[in-house]
Amino acid sequence: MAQEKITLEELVELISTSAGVRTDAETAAARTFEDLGVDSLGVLGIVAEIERRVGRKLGSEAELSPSPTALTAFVNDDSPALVEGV
Amino acid sequence: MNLVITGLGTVSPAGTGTHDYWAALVEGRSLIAPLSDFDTDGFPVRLGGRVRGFDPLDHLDGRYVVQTDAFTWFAMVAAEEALEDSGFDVTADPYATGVLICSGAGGAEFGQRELTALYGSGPSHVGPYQSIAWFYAASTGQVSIRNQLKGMCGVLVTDEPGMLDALGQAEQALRRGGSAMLVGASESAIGAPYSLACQAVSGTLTDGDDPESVYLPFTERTVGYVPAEGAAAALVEDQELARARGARVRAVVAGQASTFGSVGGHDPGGEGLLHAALGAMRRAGVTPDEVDVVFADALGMPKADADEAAALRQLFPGGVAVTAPKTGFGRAHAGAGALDVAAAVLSLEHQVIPPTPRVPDPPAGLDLVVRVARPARLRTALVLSRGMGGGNSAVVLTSPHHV
Repeated sequence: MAQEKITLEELVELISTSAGVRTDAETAAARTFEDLGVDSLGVLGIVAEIERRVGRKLGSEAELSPSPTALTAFVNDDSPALVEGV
Repeated sequence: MNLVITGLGTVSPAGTGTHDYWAALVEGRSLIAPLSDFDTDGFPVRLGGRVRGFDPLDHLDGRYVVQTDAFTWFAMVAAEEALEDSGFDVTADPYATGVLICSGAGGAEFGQRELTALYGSGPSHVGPYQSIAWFYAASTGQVSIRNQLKGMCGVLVTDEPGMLDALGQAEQALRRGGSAMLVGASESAIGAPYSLACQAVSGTLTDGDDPESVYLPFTERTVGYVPAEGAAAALVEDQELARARGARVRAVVAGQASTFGSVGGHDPGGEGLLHAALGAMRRAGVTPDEVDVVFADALGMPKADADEAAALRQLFPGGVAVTAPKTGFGRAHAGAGALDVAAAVLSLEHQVIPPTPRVPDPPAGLDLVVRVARPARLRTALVLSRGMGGGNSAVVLTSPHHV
């Protein structure tokens, strides 16, 4: 059975394996993908891996998430309200 | 031609950097070893010259390691060394420096991994970087982006002569107004079965499993070559501009010429190679007796070796020293010509001709440097290269101290 949510720690690991950028939860929580040096192809790879883990399609909106915080919020709640301001 | 090499970089089976490369060449070290990365059963090749002990994270940001194939890692590392070595300030005018890095197989190893994911697990398992990593131009692109080199950029998809052709192209680029070109060639593709399967159709690889007795060009025992990987890069500049900025000129690119021999094989008959050499020498304005050393193509196939030896005897009736240092590690396809150009530059600088490793004796009528390096007064070197498919190229390099 697929997991339903992802943690920021998992995302940090995916940022390393899928995009080659090493960071930590604290840094990832405070920055955008661009600040971290993760390009758009990197985000695509990260989203594809999350889709496999949660067992559902996240769609192109997930790929447009500006930051790790926004992406985890999107995956875990699918709530745009939480994404604002990141 | 008024082109000079002011920076040089290599990644070779001898390791990272021109220092280790030259040390291995002078020693005549054999770097051929079993291809242990996958089961070579069914492949007509067992041995090769891999770049071992190379951890890309020692040299590159993790992003590049995830995003690019090993051929791009090698190219980036060699390019970095060449740029640093040149002391050229590329930031003064980013549009004045272009990049031209040749590739024969592109990112075949990366591509194979993603295709395995595609057929094994499905399309959603193909990583997005497949879209850029396998591509022949990936190395040029990454080197350009990383160093912000915004002049004329391109890629030559070639077999071995690529770097020699790139030197010719660089001259044209500089004539159009650039002030420097970062040229090179890189190949990584011997760690992937897919790539080796493509190379196997040439029929020129040897399946010998004794590192001491494979790839012995110009001998009766040779039945083909072993593949290798590696890269070399050079920063080339206009001679006047380089001297004006006080650059250390490592070699003068005196003349280059390319020919297309015939479809299929490696220039059957040797006419194409002969004419490439004649063209390069004519453009360089050097006579046969002015050439001090030839870096031979040395394919390792009996007929091709005989053709090359005949061409050399015709070009140099009075004889000339000939060497083929690539015998020590194999033929790195697009990287091969580049590593030979680097070897020739280092040879001119050190006034030493590196030997042809493991070849015990010179063949009749050819002054092949064997067994040990030969100190010599070297002003002019001729580098020869043939590629699978019929392309040939020759370049004349001269020592900057004797112009």
